[in-house]
Amino acid sequence: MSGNAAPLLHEIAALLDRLALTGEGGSVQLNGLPLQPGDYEALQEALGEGEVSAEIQALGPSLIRETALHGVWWATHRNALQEVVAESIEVTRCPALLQTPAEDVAEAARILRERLSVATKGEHDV
Amino acid sequence: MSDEQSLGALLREQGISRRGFLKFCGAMASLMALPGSMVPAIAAALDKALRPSVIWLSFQECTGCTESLTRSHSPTLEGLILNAISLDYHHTLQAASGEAAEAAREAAMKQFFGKYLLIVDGSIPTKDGGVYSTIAGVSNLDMLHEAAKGAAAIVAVGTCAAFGGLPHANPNPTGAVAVSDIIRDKPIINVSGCPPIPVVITGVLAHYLTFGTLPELDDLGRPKAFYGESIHDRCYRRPFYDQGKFAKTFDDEGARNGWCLFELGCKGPTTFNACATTKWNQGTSFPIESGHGCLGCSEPNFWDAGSFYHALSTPITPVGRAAAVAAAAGIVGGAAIAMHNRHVKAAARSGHQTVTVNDLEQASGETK
Repeated sequence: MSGNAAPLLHEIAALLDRLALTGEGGSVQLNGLPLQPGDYEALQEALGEGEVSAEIQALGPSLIRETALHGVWWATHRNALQEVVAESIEVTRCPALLQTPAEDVAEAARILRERLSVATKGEHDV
Repeated sequence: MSDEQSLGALLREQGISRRGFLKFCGAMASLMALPGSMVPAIAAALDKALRPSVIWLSFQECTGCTESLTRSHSPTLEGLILNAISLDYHHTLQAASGEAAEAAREAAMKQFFGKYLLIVDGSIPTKDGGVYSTIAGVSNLDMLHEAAKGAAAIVAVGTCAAFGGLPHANPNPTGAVAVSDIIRDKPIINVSGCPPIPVVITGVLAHYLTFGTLPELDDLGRPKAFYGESIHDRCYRRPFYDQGKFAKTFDDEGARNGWCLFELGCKGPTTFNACATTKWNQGTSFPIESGHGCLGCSEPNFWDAGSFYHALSTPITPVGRAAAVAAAAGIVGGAAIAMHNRHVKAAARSGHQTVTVNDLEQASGETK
């Protein structure tokens, strides 16, 4: 393996060690690195395909896939025109973007109660 | 006009979800070279940030900087950040014209005195009382003095505003100078480039919105996150340099193989900018990727630094040897060459030379 893929894989291995020991992982931003032709493919090949793949539709599609190495996720974020705005390798048990924001949970409860009250009111009207 | 609505509220009003906002903050953090662990803090700060009033003054310029920013296709990070500010005056973009436009500028300067962000593109002519560039009968020089008084900070966008740029080039008929040559008592951030990369302009705005302060700057007043490393050090052709493989003309085997353009006058080693990683045209490529050396447009006096194609960057020691030293000594060797090249560049600048087609042919003949 030539170019910059090998040092990145060493960095990912170190982040995995840290995740296993302390619970805190980290990330490698791919779009800020001078990758040479072939580096990108070499990284993909070394990490492989895993069990989980999730697509998020928020300001354009984001594809987050776990690689064959558990705890190593490949995240590609695109805008509405399908252009890549950020790409990273996340070393974590679950990427932050997949988790529901706390404020949204509170809001969901409020919205559901509103719907229930409308439905109940409708029943009484009948 | 600026109001009290926070950025988070504004974006949610536009139908952008919290996840979308978090994704946006992640992309901004990556752009500003901040660690991913800071994303939640950035999101919290940006969510509460109030829209700042921005006054944009265009002086002795070509409008290329504004073009760079506005030609990014929406919806982009740039678009979102632009929505996040209250652009109270920009004479190319605003709908109002004439007296109404100038009245909007004066009203914003009065209402947000001490708080607005002043963006300047273009140099300021100082010769003959600054008469060579005026807006609504007011010289650029007077307008800058007046607008700078109430500014919280000034962003000099483009090489003209940052360092004087093309109008400042020899023989500088209008006495053009940079913003920092005139204003001494305000924080000034230089976002150089001809034009600057759009996301670099918005990255600075995002940093200001997030932290309420200016980012860390280099010795030329440029944000280190974008200008911290040379084009050369981040160039995907760098391995060819280290191996001593150089294109000698624009159509030889080396050029076709994508080898280093150092000997064809590439200014990558002395130029600090983010082109090699951020790239242009929605991340398509940057000049070196298109087969042309870097012109050094984000550096002071780049237009007077000798020919774009001549042996400006060539060290006195043969390139092969210099490259071998650099390869052996790693980054230290590269830094030594960069220092040496800065010296060569300064020498070339003092003996300003123009280039002709004959020079080009001669140069390519010499290197064959």
